[in-house]
Amino acid sequence: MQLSSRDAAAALAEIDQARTAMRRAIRTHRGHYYLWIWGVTWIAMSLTAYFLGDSAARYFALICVPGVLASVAVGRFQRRQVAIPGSPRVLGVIGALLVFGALFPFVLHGPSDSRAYFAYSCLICMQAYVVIGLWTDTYLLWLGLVVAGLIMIGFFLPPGIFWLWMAVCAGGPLVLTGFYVRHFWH
Amino acid sequence: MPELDEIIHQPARLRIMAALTSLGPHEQVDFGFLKDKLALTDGNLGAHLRALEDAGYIAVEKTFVARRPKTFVAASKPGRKAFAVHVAALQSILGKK
Repeated sequence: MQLSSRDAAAALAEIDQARTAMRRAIRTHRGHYYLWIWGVTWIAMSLTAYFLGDSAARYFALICVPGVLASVAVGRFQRRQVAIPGSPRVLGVIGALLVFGALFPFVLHGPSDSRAYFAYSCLICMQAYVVIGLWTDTYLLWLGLVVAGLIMIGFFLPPGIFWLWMAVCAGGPLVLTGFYVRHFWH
Repeated sequence: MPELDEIIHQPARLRIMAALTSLGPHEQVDFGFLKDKLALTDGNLGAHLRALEDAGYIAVEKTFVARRPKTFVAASKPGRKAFAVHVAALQSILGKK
């Protein structure tokens, strides 16, 4: 079989294109749904506390339930199209982040109030984004860093605007990044 | 010098193999997902997958997910090896290797 260098270059370009498209499709395969689900969940939690007061934080677990159910549903749907065995290393890292994240408050006698607790929980999530971003897609790294920075700014702003700030500057970027991923990565 | 593989070199099969070998060793993709990503028709993709399966380059697994039939496709070990040789042959034409 004979091939000119021009045809060989074209074939290699085709290969590169197909490989990049497939890897990108798999990495972001409905990743935007998770960003939307949790962005909307964070916004719902923040606005609930903004309108009903700090004591409404007791409903946060309840507000998370639809988010967890939706995430499970998306995960199941995803597995019907791409069968990827979970990497034990990645699962281990995420598990370690969550377990240590849950232990820190006991050692440090916990976040002092619902605002501190919410900011802390969001920071733990963004820590996971940064770690996964370092491992896989850089957009998660930047999203994690930017949102973590915004959470810290919000935490030191006057308490009256904290929840509104968290809705707009923590939940909002997740939702917007979901649109970015869907629009530019598919 | 590595040899070009005539089965793999057909344009649609080249893209199929490129896509499948970019997956991890234990990863599989659904037929419909692959069809969408490579912009091929059902018949076209099916025919090329059969040719690649006959050559032993891919593994096709028919299963049921939530009581619906599903066809998952993955590159086999010999397929990955043959594809690597084909890529090396293309690169050698360009003087890259």
